[in-house]
Amino acid sequence: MKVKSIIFFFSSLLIFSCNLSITNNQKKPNIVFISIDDLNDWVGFLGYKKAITPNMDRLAENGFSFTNAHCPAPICGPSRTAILSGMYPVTSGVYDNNIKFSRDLPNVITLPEHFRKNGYKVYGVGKLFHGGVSNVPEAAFDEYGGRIGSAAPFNSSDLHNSKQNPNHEVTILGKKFQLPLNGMPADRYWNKAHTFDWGAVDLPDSLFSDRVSVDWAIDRLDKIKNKPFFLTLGFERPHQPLFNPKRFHEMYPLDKVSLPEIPIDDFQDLPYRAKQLALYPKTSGRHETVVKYGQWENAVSSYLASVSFVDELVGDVVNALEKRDLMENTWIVLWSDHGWHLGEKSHWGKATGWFRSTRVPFLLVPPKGNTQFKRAVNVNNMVNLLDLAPTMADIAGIPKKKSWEGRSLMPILKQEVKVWNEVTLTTFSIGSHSISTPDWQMISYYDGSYELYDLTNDPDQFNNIADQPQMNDVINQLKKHIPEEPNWNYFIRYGDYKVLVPKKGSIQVFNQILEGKNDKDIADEIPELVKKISTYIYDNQPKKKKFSIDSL
Amino acid sequence: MIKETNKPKCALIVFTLMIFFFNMTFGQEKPNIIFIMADDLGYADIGVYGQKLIKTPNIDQLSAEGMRFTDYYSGAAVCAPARSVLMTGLHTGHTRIRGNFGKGGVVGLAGKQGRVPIKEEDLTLAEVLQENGYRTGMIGKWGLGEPNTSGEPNKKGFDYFYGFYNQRRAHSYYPDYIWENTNKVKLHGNENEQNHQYTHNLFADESMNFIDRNYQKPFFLYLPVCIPHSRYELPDNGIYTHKKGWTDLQKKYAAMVTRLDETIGRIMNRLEALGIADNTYIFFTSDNGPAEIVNDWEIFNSNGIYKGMKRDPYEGGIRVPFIVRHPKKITPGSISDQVGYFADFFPTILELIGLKSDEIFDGNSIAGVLHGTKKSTDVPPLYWEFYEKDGWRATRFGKWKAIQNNLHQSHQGPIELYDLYRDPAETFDISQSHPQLVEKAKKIFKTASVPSEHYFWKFQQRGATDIYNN
Repeated sequence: MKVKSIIFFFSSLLIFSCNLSITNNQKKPNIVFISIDDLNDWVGFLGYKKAITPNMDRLAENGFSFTNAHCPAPICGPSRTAILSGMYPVTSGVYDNNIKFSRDLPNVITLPEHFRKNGYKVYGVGKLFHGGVSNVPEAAFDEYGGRIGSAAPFNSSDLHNSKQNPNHEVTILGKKFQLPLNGMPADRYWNKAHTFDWGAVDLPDSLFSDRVSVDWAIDRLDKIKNKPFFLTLGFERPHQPLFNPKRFHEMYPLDKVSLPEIPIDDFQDLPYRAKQLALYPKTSGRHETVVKYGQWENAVSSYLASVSFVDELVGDVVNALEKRDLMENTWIVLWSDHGWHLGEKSHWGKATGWFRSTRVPFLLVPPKGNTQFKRAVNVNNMVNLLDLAPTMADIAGIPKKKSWEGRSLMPILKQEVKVWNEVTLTTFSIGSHSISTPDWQMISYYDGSYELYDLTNDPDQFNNIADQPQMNDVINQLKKHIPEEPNWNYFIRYGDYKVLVPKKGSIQVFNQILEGKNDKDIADEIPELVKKISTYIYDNQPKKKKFSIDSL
Repeated sequence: MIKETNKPKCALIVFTLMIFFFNMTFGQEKPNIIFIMADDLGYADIGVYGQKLIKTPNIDQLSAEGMRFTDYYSGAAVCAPARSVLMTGLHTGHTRIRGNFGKGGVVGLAGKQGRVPIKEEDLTLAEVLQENGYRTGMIGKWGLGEPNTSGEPNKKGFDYFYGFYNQRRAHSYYPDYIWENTNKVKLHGNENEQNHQYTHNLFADESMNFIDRNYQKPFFLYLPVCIPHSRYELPDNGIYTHKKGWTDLQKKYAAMVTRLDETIGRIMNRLEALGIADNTYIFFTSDNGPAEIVNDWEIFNSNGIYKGMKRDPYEGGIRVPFIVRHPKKITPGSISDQVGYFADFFPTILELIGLKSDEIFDGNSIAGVLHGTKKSTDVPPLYWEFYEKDGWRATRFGKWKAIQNNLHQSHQGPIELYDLYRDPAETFDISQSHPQLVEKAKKIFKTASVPSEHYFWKFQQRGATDIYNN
């Protein structure tokens, strides 16, 4: 009798758990996964009230906004690679924009593919992976809607650098445009396309890439069948060029624009490498050019116009979901791959270690029908976009991959967190990292120099306090979080050269101010210098891994 | 230096045993010699040399029962010259075949010009062994002559030959035919694009047959197998079939190495079964560094801590695994840092079988090191020259290694210098601060090589270009 009842108990348990998993399956939530390119923290829901972003603000009110979210890397390629592979740049080895998934990480199952393998119908459109359409891994999507590029309605030929100076005329739908719209010469003359440009383009919305992507995405919503869907929507904006329909530019009149502050002695307390990084137009253009041509206000206005254009389109997606009664069971996830400088630290673009580059907007909005979660929550915990992969898996109730290095944010959403390690890592080049906590940001350069900022009292990062003796304890604590990067024996700066000494293979040398070629290994072209460095290391057997050499 | 892991319990017994076997050598019981050479196997593709992912239990066992060399080199960074150095005891500055293609060569079976055959006057180790009562067999990839040339294996000291004449055909693992001496043997299982007769399996079987036929006499079996050279194909991926996260190519490469390992296990078992293991020297090595890698290979780290691949002058191109086993004469599990290379093989074998010779070799006998009667010693500089790519030459003397690149342009170019003790990965070229050593390397380079009638530096000889560009 006893035995029987135990069997009965177990079998009922079994049936019960079977039922549970079936109902779970039926209720698997849909996910709309929105990525935005180069959107810094200039959005309403992060307190920047000058930006007009009502739709994104509304999403924040219905979910979780992470106020201390940072990117794994402050450039498109490595950031998106890290987010979609779940691995830090120091693990995957993808530090720069020269990334091709099929070549560099052929065995990695990307986040969308992982969802496909776990019963989701996965759609993609626009820029999710870095690079052109050919860089999108074949297995990533069930259906991919392509991408037109951020320059549309102009094409790449219109923006060709050779045509920009002197200005040239382009006619679209009978309307004439003088390119570049801002009248500025290209600082990055070595690039094919001149994209450091902005201005209103009075053409129909339907010619702009993000509008096209959103229309494609909304079309997919009508085809949804039984399977849960995972819809990735990659906005091109506010990546430069900052071209938008006129009405968005009119939202930000030039006389009302406020510019970021640059203290007169801004560079005084910066290490050599920081100044180099600030002044070299790696991803955008030069601050001095913007000022010289009187374009700073226009740039800020145009950037915000791009942000508002994206916001309107996000609103369209949300409305489309509501119309189809899909909000009940759909998560909306919104993030930007990294920030963007508009003159802060005299820099334009990204790829720096400062807050303006590393901090990103990040929203997680639970389905309307899910009453488990609180709404309108500002989460102050330190999180990283690398946490997306495990968090997404937990949202969907699908397995997590062992190789993922982020932390699931589900405990935060459920407010079950007791202890959360309040520190996060952003890698901005080989050997260079930012360590961010709620109070501090330490920027550690490959040559062993570093900056420290007190984010509470100095959110604009005007005062580098790394040299203050009382900060030693803080610095030593933060230094523990700098990754080891075991593939290299030494990182060295010699003048403007960056020297990488790998554990295995040849010494690499980069001239960091060589215009257009600062990413190119030039060791073969300067054998004498390589020999001098070799001899220096051989003779001195340096104990430090990161250092600079003053003279050889 | 020899590190002993198993200390003999009683020195006296060892000494007596040594005398006993010393006598045996001069009796009728000359030792058998088996030389197994993998193709394009990297230094660190073997468990005892640091491989983490590919399983090689039998080769690891061979090392546990024999002596493993840490600083041993091939004769060249590619196939044919490595084999030429091995067979002649002369380095690539002296030996006949210094590249896969040269002037005065013949059209190979695959239609490529310039397969230089070894000549009558080039003395091979096999010829000497044959003359001294050894049964000699070669199974695998020869590389030193085409059919109907002076370089046929049967003309150069081998009683028995089974395999391929040159590199090209050797790297299809399911060919229509294979050579047995001078006869083409049809492989019916591979006709009409069927894949039933895998050449490595045939080599393994023929090796057993050769040993079975000849074990009562002293024999020399030269077994230069073709795996794990491309193409990457084999009947099944064995223990890697269900390996998660590996690409098919990764599985195949690992499975080819493990298959080679199994063959070595088979040979060891057969020697035990026939009761001749105690009188057989087994050598195991590779002909050069790992092949130029596709991304897939990176997980194996085939060249270990070293820089470079096959065809490179750096350690990854020429440093090879080298293991020798003779249970009665070599301290099991010993490790030697004796510096040496393939040119040593000829004089070493002569000493091992008690033959004196007036021949001058570029290598040195390592017999004393193998038997533990000699510590590792400084040897004359090792030398390599190479005509593919931009041309290079290299030398190792003591702990130093010097490399000169771009020889096709000029012989006056810069010389790189590395300290292999402090910098085994050859990261720090210290030529600038060590001018005396650079001068020494220049002297070595100046005298090491005798010009060849088949191989030229482009800047010295018009027309040489055609040979290397075909």
